[in-house]
Amino acid sequence: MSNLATIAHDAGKLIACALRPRQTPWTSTEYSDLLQRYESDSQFRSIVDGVTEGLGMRIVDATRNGLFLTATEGSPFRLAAEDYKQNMSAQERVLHGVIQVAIAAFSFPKADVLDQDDTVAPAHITPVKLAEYIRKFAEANAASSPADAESDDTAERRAWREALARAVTMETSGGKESARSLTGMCRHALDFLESQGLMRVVDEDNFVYQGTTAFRIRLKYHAAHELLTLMRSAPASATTN
Amino acid sequence: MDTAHDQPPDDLFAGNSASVTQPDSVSPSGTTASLERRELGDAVARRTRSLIAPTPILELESDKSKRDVDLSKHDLRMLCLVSLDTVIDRMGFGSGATRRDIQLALAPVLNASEPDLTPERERLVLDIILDALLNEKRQRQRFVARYATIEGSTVRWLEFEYALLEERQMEDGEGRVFRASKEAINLYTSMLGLDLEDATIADAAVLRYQAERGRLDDAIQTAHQAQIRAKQYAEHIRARLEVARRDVEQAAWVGQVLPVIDEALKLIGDRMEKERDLRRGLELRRDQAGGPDLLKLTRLLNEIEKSERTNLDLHRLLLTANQQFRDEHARQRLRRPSAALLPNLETDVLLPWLDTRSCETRERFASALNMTAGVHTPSVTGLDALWSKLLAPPVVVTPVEADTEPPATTALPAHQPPFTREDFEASARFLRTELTSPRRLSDLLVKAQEQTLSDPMRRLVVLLSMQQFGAAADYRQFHVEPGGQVFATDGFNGDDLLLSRT
Repeated sequence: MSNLATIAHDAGKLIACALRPRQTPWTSTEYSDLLQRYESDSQFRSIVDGVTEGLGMRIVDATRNGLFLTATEGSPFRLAAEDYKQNMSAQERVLHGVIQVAIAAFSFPKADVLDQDDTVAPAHITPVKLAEYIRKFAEANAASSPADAESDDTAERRAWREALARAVTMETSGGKESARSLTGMCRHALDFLESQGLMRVVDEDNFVYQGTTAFRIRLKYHAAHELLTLMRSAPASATTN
Repeated sequence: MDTAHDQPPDDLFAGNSASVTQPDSVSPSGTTASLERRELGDAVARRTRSLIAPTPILELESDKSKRDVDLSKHDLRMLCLVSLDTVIDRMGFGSGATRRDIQLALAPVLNASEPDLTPERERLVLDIILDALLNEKRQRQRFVARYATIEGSTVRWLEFEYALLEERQMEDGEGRVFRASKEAINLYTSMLGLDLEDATIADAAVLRYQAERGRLDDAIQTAHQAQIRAKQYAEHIRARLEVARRDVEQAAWVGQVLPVIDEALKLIGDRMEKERDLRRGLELRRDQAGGPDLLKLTRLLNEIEKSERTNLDLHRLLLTANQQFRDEHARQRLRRPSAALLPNLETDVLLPWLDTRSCETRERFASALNMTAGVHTPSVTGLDALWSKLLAPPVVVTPVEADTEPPATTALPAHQPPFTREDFEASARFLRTELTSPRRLSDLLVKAQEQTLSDPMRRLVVLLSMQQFGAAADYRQFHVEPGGQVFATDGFNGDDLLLSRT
């Protein structure tokens, strides 16, 4: 193998490590060594950057904590709704979008919390706490726009109404939690993030989760800004603020 | 600061009236007074913050009766301080106390207060303590309190943001440790706003004084306090460097941080030299000592060594800080967005997101997912894997059988028919004998009682009579028609029937 081919081979290895959600430099010496090389070897770094870009991904961060990637539009590495949950209804998509944003906001409510050192562990989170959190904010929205609360126009229906409707209709029956309840949906979301290496289970019996360092890095150096941009790119008529 | 702040009134607490103020430049005594007041203002502000810092711990104790669980046997304030003590004792660069460390430290205290404490309850109390110190109720945000400061002739309200504990990922990437904030260490050392550098220098002087005069008990206490203070100072410097390193655009590294590094290096270097000298002297004394003094000197040396380790770590960090900053700067300039622009996710994103039309948020779901939840790793089936699947023997589904023993059971007693063969025979015989002429059912029942027919037999007479009432010709054995009156006899009542053979 030529020198360039060897470097490309190692670059592929580093990207492969980054694509395995549960693999960390702490558990793999090879991953750790490749990360160090990425830091110190500019040729290697250029090739990793180039291959990553060619695969339709962008590097969010590269530190001793790992190489963190995000998929751009049209990339085969982009998450589809079906990867997250199969056969979701339109309402479920709305709610799961809210839940994903809520998990991020719950873990890092303010800029200064998000701005803490990468290794600081965020707050513990449970499906029940998260559902309550969403309900609290949905109710705050309902209180600030009572006219919308009475409107039945489906096209104008706000996301908070979906959240409240799901919280009210699905949470009150019986003692058992339904997978379609808001709490059940929160659990699915947390489990999915756990499978992606972004949450860790703190207490299995009590369903306690906690964002990982990878989650903070993803939010801090990529998603928080992007979510804000996404919000600001909304059509003027889309929000009442 | 506006100019009025530099012109305090003679009476510090006279309010905001500008009429009593005098420019500092007018008289030297005015300058001195102004300086004193400013110093007083600073000192009072520091002390106020020191008073505020224990609030979460005090509130935890005062609100414990509002909880669902009975915690009356425990002083939660003391438990918080024991936890902080444990954390601070294990702190160094990149390390701290694990949950297990804190649990082990609290266990004897908890058991002394509540001898029959169950493991579940012990865990619950530990959770309560850690949650309070981490501010878990507010998602681990910093505690915030408003307080007033004296600035020249005015009183100004400020916000004091502080933390007590934080949880961090360990160097191995898997474990988690707790670390105390500088405010928490402040609580521990009972410092009411003393200047950290001054206190550190004072510690060294006092320690030497006590050690040289053989006041070993006092020296141990001072050395312990000094090593905690060394950690606090190290945390203070580390936090400053971390903030600067994280946000290169905000930090005026050269102008502000490098002087801090130089000053800290000087202080630490001096401190290390003094500690080294003191340790050597004490080691010589220890080698010659015996009995209780030996024990005390060993403890004293342990404390000094802890302090030396902390100082050595800080020294190493300070020496490499500049290079680390340069590396980070190069990296951040290439890739990272400025931390200064980070949004408040609750108010800037979640709230407006909830207030967006559902059809819009539905469309944004995939984008949000890709932002927050990572990437999709396609799993491609290789040719070898495909062949092995195709050539694999058919899957034999074996129904799962529960490996359980049949439960011990007892047979139910056989169901007894309501009427025996003898009952049927006796009732038929009775009807054949008595029904020689038309008879009323009521008369027959009286007769049956006289002949001591049993209850089942008499019931059979009644049932057979009812069966024959209106029976089809093939089944009819005797004729039954309404008797035209009501009867009540021998436990039977109703419309009487007239029975006859034809």
